[in-house]
Amino acid sequence: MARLILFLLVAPLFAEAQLLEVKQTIYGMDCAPCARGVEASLKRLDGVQAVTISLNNGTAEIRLAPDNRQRLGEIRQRISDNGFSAKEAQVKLSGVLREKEGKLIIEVESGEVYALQQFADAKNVLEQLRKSKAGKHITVAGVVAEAKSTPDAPWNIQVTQLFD
Amino acid sequence: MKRLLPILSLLFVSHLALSSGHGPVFGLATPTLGKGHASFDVAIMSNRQSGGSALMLKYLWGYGITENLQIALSTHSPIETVPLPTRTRGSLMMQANGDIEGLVLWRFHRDDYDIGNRFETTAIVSGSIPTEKKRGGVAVGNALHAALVTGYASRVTYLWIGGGYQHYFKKGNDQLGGLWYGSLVFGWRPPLFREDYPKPDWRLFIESLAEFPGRNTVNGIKDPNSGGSRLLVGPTVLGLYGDWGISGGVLVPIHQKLNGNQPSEKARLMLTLTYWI
Repeated sequence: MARLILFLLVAPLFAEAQLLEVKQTIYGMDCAPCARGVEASLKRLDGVQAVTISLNNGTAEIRLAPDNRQRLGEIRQRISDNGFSAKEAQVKLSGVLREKEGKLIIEVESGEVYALQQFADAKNVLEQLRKSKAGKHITVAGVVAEAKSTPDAPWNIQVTQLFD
Repeated sequence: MKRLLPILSLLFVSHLALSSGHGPVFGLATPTLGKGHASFDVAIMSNRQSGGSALMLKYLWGYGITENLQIALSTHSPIETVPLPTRTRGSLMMQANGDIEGLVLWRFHRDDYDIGNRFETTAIVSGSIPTEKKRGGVAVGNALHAALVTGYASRVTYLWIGGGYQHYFKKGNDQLGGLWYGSLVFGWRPPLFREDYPKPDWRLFIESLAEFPGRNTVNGIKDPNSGGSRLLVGPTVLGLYGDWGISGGVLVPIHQKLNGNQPSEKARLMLTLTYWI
């Protein structure tokens, strides 16, 4: 019974808390078999609905299922396993906005945490979010840097767009 | 029909194959398989000499332990042989005709410095066992081989330079001479084929291969009719589309200095068909 109550309390925090889209920049990928290997590896990931590879732009565009539990870290690991370097990524994700240790974060169902950063041209966006959206479900798009500061640190995402 | 048979069998086998063959045909190159990826290449190779022609099928199985560490096994099926086979070395499928070879490739340096661009260096070590007792009248033993290749890949051009050495161990009083070699490969993707994946991806290469076989030892005596040097140059082409790949080309000697009385090489041809699962 206690577990059920705990689940009912916690579940809303993760309701529809997922990565939705990832446009991952890839360095070093030069040829069709390279693209094919990356595409096949990404398609095998749970929750991946579609993958589009561009050799000329050096990107992998990944569309994920609404109920997926996929991690950006795993997507980047697959690219690394193919012998290429995953650089910054444009991502779209949704989840409940929370404040933790002074940072606005979104934790997705996979357990990955994204710390929202102020986009250079968007003054006061985070402050407005803190006031109006804390505790609410939001969908944002932004740019995630190539690496974390430490393995346990959240992914820093520079928010570029807020969806209603 | 006898000459068609290997080509037909090659076409058949290629249906079952997956491959790592996305580099040059004869020269050394740096790419290795992705982690957990397996590969199989099948090729038909002809070596034309002043004294006849050798023809064989070659097979290469590969597996990527990590994205930078690959193992491979190369075998062959001779179709036509010559009394004094040319001493050859080069790409993973270019070991001596008659050797079964196990290879380890370690891409120990990689710099993915931009979109579509890579600079990298790979070390290759291998060991081979002969499938025949004598080769050109010389009892043939096991061999060890090491090579190093560096270069860059991009969406427009490719350049690889590498070289290595193969040492044959003594067999009784006989020993095949060691073989130094080096290769230089320049690749170019024509503008028509720079369209994005999954459009057809074709590349043209100019490949050069220099080989310096040492003198053989027969009954403890250096054979005067062995060893020398050879420089070969030629065009090759690589095409990739969907699950299929095809590569092939020809090398012709522009320099040959062979000791004593040895058949001179006229041309070296190879065609590889690949299929990716």
